[in-house]
Amino acid sequence: MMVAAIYPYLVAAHVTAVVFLVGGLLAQERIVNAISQSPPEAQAGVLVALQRLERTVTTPALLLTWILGLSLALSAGWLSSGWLIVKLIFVVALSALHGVRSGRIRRSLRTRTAIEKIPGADLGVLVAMLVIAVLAIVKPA
Amino acid sequence: MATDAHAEKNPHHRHGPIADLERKQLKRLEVVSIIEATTLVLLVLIAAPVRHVWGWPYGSKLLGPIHGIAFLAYIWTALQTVAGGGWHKREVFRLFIVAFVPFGGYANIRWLRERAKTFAETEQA
Repeated sequence: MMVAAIYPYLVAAHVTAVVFLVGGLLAQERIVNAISQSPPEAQAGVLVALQRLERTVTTPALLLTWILGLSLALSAGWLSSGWLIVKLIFVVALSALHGVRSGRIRRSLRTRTAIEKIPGADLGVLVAMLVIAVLAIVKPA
Repeated sequence: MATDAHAEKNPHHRHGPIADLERKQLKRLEVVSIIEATTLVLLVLIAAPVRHVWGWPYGSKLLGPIHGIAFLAYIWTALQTVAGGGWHKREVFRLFIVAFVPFGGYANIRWLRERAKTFAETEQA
């Protein structure tokens, strides 16, 4: 009864966290692509801003996405469902991309070197989000 | 005050935010490592015996998911730390294998503090 009462609010909070996470990830990748050809000293200001975005928005959103998502999966008993396992593969890939990207931003700032693009990462974020949305809404058997 | 103003204008300034990035990252990894190891200690040494001896399952029902999130947070923070560069393959292996060794997170504390100290000394030089 209790879980059923808060379920829609958990879903709403989870979706909100996902929006901030994926929006932030996509913005990071697009901005890195745009500045990657510039000299390192011209990149520093943007990289500091991206690092702050990561610290204040995308990483908290990532943590909330996982906590709320696993709470939903546990409460609804979906942990052994095929669709959720496939969805988790894409979520892990997006989480890993975020970890690698934020680490590389830190490295570029510390070593004063130009940030490197991760080829296809922005397209990967879009495709992963589409697959995740379809799996979460359709829940195929 | 002058140092802060300089740091604001030039993010690469020695006393600015950049100089602190790696130290803060290692501190975060240390904290997550302690949380991961401690939730496992509580789960294995308190919640599990209480469940099996006195039949009270709520401790492990609560601590299980908390430890799961702490485990994922450790793996992710380790990945984020390693992606910052400057780690040997053996160190990377150690960082990740610790997550699968019970109470291994405590072994990270001294190592990460020494690494942060070494890093600070290198930066000073």
